[in-house]
Amino acid sequence: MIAVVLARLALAAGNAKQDKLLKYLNDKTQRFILARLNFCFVRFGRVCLWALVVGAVPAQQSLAQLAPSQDGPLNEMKQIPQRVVSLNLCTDELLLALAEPHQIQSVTWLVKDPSLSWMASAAQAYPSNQGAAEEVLAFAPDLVLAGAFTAPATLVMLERLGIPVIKLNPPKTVAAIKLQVQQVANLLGRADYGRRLIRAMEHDIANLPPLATDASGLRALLYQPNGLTAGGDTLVADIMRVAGLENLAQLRNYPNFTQLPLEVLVLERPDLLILGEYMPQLPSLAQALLTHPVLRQSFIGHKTIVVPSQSWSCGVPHAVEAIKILRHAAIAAAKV
Amino acid sequence: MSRRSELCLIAQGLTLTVAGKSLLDDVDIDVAGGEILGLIGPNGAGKTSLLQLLAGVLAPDSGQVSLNGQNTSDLSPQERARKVAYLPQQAQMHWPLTVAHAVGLGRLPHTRGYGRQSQQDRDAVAAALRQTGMVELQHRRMNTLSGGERMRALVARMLAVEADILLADEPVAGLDPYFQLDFMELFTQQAMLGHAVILVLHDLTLAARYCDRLLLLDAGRVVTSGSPEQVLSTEHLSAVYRIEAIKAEHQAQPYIVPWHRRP
Amino acid sequence: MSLWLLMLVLLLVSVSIGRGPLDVLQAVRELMAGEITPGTLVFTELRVPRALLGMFVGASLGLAGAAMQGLLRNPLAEPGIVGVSGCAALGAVLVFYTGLSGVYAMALPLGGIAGALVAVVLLYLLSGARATLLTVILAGIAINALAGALTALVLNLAPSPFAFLEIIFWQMGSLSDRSLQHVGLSLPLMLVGWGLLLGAARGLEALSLGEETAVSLGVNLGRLRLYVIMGSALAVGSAVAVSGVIGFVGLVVPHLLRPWVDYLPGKLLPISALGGAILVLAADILVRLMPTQNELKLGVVTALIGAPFFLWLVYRLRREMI
Repeated sequence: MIAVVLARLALAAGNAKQDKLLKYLNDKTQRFILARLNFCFVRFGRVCLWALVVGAVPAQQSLAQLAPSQDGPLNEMKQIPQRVVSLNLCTDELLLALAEPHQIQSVTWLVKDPSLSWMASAAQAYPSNQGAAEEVLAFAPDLVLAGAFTAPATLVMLERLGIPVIKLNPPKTVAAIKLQVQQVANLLGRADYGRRLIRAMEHDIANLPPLATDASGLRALLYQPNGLTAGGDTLVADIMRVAGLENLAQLRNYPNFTQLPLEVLVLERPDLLILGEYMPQLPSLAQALLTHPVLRQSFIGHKTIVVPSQSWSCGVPHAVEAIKILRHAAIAAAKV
Repeated sequence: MSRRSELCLIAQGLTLTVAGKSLLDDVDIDVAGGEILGLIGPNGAGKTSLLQLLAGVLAPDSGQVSLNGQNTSDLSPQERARKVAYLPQQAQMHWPLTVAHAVGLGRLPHTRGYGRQSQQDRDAVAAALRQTGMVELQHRRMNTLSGGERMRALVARMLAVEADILLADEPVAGLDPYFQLDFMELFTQQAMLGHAVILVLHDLTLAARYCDRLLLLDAGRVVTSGSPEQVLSTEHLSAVYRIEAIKAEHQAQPYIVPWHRRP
Repeated sequence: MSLWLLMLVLLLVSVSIGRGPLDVLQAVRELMAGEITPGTLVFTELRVPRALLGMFVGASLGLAGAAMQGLLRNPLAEPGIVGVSGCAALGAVLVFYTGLSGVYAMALPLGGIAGALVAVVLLYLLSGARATLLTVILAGIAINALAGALTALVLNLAPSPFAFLEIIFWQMGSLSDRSLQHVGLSLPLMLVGWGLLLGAARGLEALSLGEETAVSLGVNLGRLRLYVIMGSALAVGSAVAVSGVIGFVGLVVPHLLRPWVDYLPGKLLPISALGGAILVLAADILVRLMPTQNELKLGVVTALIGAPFFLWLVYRLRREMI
């Protein structure tokens, strides 16, 4: 707006100047200068138009600054949200697992891929988003669920436009999963359903086939594409603990996710090798590392188990599947 | 003075066109053992191309070359290389090899495989070094030699091939007068040993003094061939070189000094 | 010769070091006794392939570098600089990320070879018969730029989520965690390449006198070019397909060793192969000795050695380039 006004003023000023100037010049020079000045102002005019277009965006932003921002902890939502958009794979899964169908407006495109998510078929019914603010606005949500790594700029933009955004940090223990499930369930007005899901989880864990006494403390190591292993402060490590396995990486104090050289892996002689696959059907050097002959020859038969990434990449109730797989593997490995 | 024996090299009807431009047109040339044939003519006459055709570097569009009675199309490249030794214009040396190694490269047409030099090869190299006076310099690197010395080493390389026919393209161009005379003496020596020598020369005096026969080329065609007196006549000098020259004799040998340009 | 001895020593050192706590002598003893333990497995499946590959890849690069310098009579020609390695990487990347190599294992080295062949032919066409120093380098820059850009493009478009990050392997080279399978994939065609390149020895020596003289000495120039082009493509293509682009080996080694062979291009070939093997083995040992968290890429070390060397060469040849 201001830009347009300024532009008009400038043009007017220019024209006035032009008229004044012309009075003092003879005919030929007049025409020469007129031609030059007109050229300048045509260009200047174009610049002004461009300024208008560019100015529109900051203009809108400054308008939005006038609206109140609404972020706050999970418990402060006054109403049960009816139009929820999720911008993160893990929050997608939680949303799909806990919410009623009419509450869900959109989930990301990632959750529709069966190799990435176990809720892929359920997700097909909903429109997908790529995480951009414009898309989110189109759904007119009353709640947005985001992950820890969702683009901060997008979230700030959404908040400025008055949309409540809840960021969910990925849980690092099985207990934390249960806590988050309850919190999100409360948020969505499905507290009872949440409690039922948690009880089902606990039931499944309690009814895992027991490990023989001499089999507890079986040493295991995770090996993911690119040679990454999971240290103590990870969900994977906690899942291994619940399954009754001793995480060698935790024992050796590896932080978080670290790259483990193949030599070290083989020479550590874990009783169980857990291969974390990630999209194995797509060729990559990272995944090819998991098929190195030395692994096939060192860990034969029951000493290897593959856990698909959908099971434990997100802290969701489905993580119990990973625990089940690992417990069965531990039992089989102990027998050898 | 003719030292002709049987004809070593006979070429007939040589024609060469490159990129639409006619370089040689129906050229006949022959040289006998023990004879020095001088190829002369202005720039662009096709002298280098003719020499390259005879050496097997280029292939003619039509015509044939026969060496000692054998058609070159019947010879393998290696057999041909044993009969004809070629020294191109502005011969280069890409790596700073020692003189001995460089001269040794001349034995390639005779060796099989890599790096195996027989006693015969070593003798040939030694002889070539002796004939060019490069024996003391044989362990020096080519890039540390003066212009004249380098040229001598390259000629030694040519001699090491032990070919019947020697072809050299402007071997004395850009050399000191000392070396110019030195090389012409060398070629004369080679001719006396029975080799057939074809030289491309720019210096008319050298051509007149040292060559038994001359072949005058202009614009890809043979203008005339014969003894130096016949070829270097005033009419030919005027028509082909567009010059007037002073011709005289010193110690019974001719010399020619270009004097005037003709319009 | 002493070079063989040096290479043997480096081979032994290479097999003896690694990130894992392996008692090599113990492993060898167990191997001799016919036992199979984690130690013997690490030795035979990780250490030995790595050392062997280091040797073979280094030999290929050294040999190809010496041959290309001989053919183009240009001291700055080497597979990395002139883009042959880059195009080989492109070929390998295309074959790998489209899944072709999963279906047919030999497709990987073949892809590398095809890429390398395109580059060498392009180089020869661009720089032509009268290849001056400048034209070869400029042609190489163009080919390298194109290959690098296309490789990045293919990796970006590849379906796998890791592909985009794997560009570091392809452009900086690495020998870590390679297996005997990789050795088996690359060796056969590498050997053919070596045969062709070594067979060009005579012709390359004749070429030091210039093309015309070489032809007059009975050298078949077309066949010589074919040997060097095909040989380089086979050797470099196979090597890059399994180890990524390791640059500057073919530049440094021939230059350092040339005075030792009296500048004879033919004699330089096998010596250059040995020298290349030694350089890559040494660099690989260095990479494993460095106390970095993630293992340094091999190409980084060779570039740290080679790039300053290249600059020094350019400085020295400045006058000729004008």
